[in-house]
Amino acid sequence: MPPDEHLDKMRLELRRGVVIIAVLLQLRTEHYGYALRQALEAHGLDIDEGTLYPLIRRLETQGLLTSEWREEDRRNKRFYVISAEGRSHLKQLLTEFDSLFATIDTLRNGRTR
Amino acid sequence: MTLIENYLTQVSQLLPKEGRDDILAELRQSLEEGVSTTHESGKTKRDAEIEALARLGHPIKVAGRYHPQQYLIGPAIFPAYRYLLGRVLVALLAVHLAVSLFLFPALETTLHMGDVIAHLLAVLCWGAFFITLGFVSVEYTGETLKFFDRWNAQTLQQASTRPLEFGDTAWNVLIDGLFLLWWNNILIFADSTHILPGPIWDDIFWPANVIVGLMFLLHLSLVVRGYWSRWALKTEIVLNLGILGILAPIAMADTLVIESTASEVPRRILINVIYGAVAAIALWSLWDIRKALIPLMRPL
Repeated sequence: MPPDEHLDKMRLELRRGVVIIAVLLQLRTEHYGYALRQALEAHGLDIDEGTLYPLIRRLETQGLLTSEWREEDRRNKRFYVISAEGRSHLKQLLTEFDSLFATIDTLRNGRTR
Repeated sequence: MTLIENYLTQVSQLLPKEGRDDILAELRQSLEEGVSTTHESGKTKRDAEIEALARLGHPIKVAGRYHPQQYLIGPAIFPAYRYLLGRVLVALLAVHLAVSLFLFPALETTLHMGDVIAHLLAVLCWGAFFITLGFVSVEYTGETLKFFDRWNAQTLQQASTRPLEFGDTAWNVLIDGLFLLWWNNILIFADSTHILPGPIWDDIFWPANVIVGLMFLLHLSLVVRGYWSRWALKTEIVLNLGILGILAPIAMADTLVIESTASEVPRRILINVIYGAVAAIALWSLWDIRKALIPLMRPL
């Protein structure tokens, strides 16, 4: 595997967990799929639709999101929003993320926690 | 919107039945909105469609992501699968050779190399199939294996520092087994009825059977256990010394071959080939003894 492919694979693994947190954070306010992708992109997280839509559907199956079909701008759209269980999961994931981030930060700066 | 309709048709064929219409409606809505946004920015409708579809990705890839599981055997149980598969295949190989060794003499028949390999391959393929099927079932039923959890560090007491080369050991099982089949005239590589062996071969017939038979069992047990114990290293040394003990009278024998008809390999060449094989096996045994001695000489 060429070095670039190694890096791409590592980047993908690094993003995988972060994307879930980003989606849950963004869905604290209601979005439909296309708008969610654009909102995440506006925040600097470019995620392709072929990955995002199955992901939000899986999160909904797990009970972390709720959804409903509604008409907006003369189009039927499926709107997603975080559920109570999703908020609880998000809180724990953010705690974990902060801890990891702090660890990486201390490692990068050569300090101990 | 022909491209989008064709795309959704392809995706729909691959989606899980549950929620299929819902997923398609969502993809359609997203694609239409994407096309509309790109079209408004000045691109042609067709270019906008192509762009939106490219952003979504290949139908197989997209539809696949809606399925709950994307693999047959996941990383949690794959090491156990690989470990067991290798060992089961070697065990099947051993059973196959053993059956050939004991069953075919009873049937008073001989085997040819091609038949043995073809039948062996079929047995190995079936073995691999059933092991894989078992692990796929474990993966899909959500069961967990206690295989690794049961491991106890105290078992290391019996082990040695010599790493077990699985491929080499499996190869040894095969070579030992094939030798036994050939030695007992069950497996025939070439027509050798024209060669009349000297009396030395009768003298070493049973010792060779016993020593190589024990080696076959030792190597098979190593494959199953997965490590060299100190006991196994000592046995390896003793058995290799036994092989050297068998080779010595062959090397010193006056008459290796009594007769070899002129139409086949000349007698002198045949004798040289035997001496060459004896020398090669002796060197191999000495090398194996050295490899077993080194870890044994390290302090406990």
